[in-house]
Amino acid sequence: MLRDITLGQYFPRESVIHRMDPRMKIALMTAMISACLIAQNAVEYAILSGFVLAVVLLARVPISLYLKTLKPLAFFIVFTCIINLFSADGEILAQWWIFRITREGITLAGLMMIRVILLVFISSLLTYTTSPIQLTNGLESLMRPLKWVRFPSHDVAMMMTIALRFIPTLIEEADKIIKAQSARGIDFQSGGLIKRIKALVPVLIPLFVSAFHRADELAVAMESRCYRGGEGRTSMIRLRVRAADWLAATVCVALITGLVMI
Amino acid sequence: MIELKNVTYTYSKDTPFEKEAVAGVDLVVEKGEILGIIGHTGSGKSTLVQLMNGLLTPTKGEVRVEGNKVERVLPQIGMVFQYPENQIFEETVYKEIAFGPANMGMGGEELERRVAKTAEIMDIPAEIMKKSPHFLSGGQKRRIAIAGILAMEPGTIIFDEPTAGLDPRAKNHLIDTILTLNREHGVTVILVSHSMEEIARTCNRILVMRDGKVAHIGTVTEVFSHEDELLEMGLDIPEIAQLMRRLGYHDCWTVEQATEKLKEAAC
Ligand SMILES: Nc1ncnc2c1ncn2[C@@H]1O[C@H](COP(=O)(O)OP(=O)(O)O)[C@@H](O)[C@H]1O
Ligand SMILES: [Mg+2]
Repeated sequence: MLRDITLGQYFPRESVIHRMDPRMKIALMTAMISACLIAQNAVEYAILSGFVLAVVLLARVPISLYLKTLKPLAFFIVFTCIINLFSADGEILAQWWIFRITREGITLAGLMMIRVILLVFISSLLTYTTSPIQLTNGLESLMRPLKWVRFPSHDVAMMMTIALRFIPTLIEEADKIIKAQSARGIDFQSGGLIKRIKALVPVLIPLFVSAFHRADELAVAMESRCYRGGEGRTSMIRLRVRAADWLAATVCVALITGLVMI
Repeated sequence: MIELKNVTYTYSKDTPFEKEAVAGVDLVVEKGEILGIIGHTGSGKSTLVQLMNGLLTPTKGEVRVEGNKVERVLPQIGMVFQYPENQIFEETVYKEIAFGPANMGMGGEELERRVAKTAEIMDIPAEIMKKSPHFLSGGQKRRIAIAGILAMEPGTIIFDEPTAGLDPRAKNHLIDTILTLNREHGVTVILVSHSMEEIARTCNRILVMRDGKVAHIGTVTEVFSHEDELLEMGLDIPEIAQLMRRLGYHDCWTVEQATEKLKEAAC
């Protein structure tokens, strides 16, 4: 049950998008998200959606996975749509009590929906096509200039790598403990709030105990392999921006400039 | 009696990570027997046993216990997971053992009696009952965790690799306890194990899993006579049985049986 959370899961495939430099992917994703936020009319959204769809197809990750990440957001999307639908002024199409539906409202709601969906697609694109290791390597490299203000970029990246590495392990562990305790007669589904919170104690304590054990073991394993922080440390994976990355950047920049111009 | 009819279980169904862990299994577990389950890692043993007590619901087919279709987790079938000591959470050994029966609505003297009885079966010394279970030895923690399940007095107990990671003495102790449970308390036992010696010593019947399907099921002699096939699956027969085969004895699986045979021969 817990395993069905897919947000931020890497989906290994052979594709041009998978092979891109993680730094370039992070930069371009940020650019695309800004483009989504500044786009205003239907034409701009149509162009953006077309572009995102093309990239999604290039990445060769099944569309069903993206839709799955959308599912938990469905309520939020519908809610913002409804707010937008009723709150715009303009040409009135239907009216009932204090509620008015306007032509502008419908457009606004539609665009809002497309905007949220695009945002989810773009951020999922990054996490589906970039392995956690690559992602943190990319972030570390992008954060390096912050050294000037004494920002510990290596340590932050290492912490992220470890956290990402252990999330699936923790989920697996939680799944197992939940099963073990429900076989001992705990009911997680029914009862009031207090009862449900109480039911979590027998799950959380063993989970913390094993997480601390694991952290201890990991620390020993790292120390025994002479880990001593980022000072003078080189990376096995050399990030390199290649021609394909520059091409992708050019296309993206051209698209965004185009959107701003029209 | 537990009946499985054409049971299939698929993890993460309808996603690209779909995995059929159990495929069309038919099986009947008789009351009072010890059924051993062996198979390569990933062959679906753990999934199969979780289907038996309702922790998992079959994707296809059905599971019946005493004739009734299983629709929720059954308290009458206890489940000892791999490394059960990882589920310990109470402050004292007593509370840890009492947790299950208390959830079933038991209290007062009856609960105390139940805990004391369980502690005795599991050989948990009275002086540690008020101590924190978190600082005891691995073997003791495991016995406490098992006592927590036993205290619910299930008629059937499933053990998923109960001796993994224990030292030889703790292993033997636990196997003896499982045998006692079955012989003296009439508990039906389902034992998943990688140790052929353990299986040969305890089980009435053996089920061999392979890629989610039943490869063989039968008595110890029936199953272990397929030695070549077991080897090909990454399994084995007990070492003592290999020795006895070389000496020309073909239905001798445990040290006790071997001793008898060899004594006879020596006379
Ligand atoms: N929670 C799960 N989600 C997805 N796949 C799983 C899960 N648990 C087990 N599997 C997969 O199902 C198959 C059978 O696993 P399992 O029943 O644990 O086998 P065994 O106990 O014989 O080692 C394996 O391929 C395993 O990777
Ligand atoms: Mg297993």
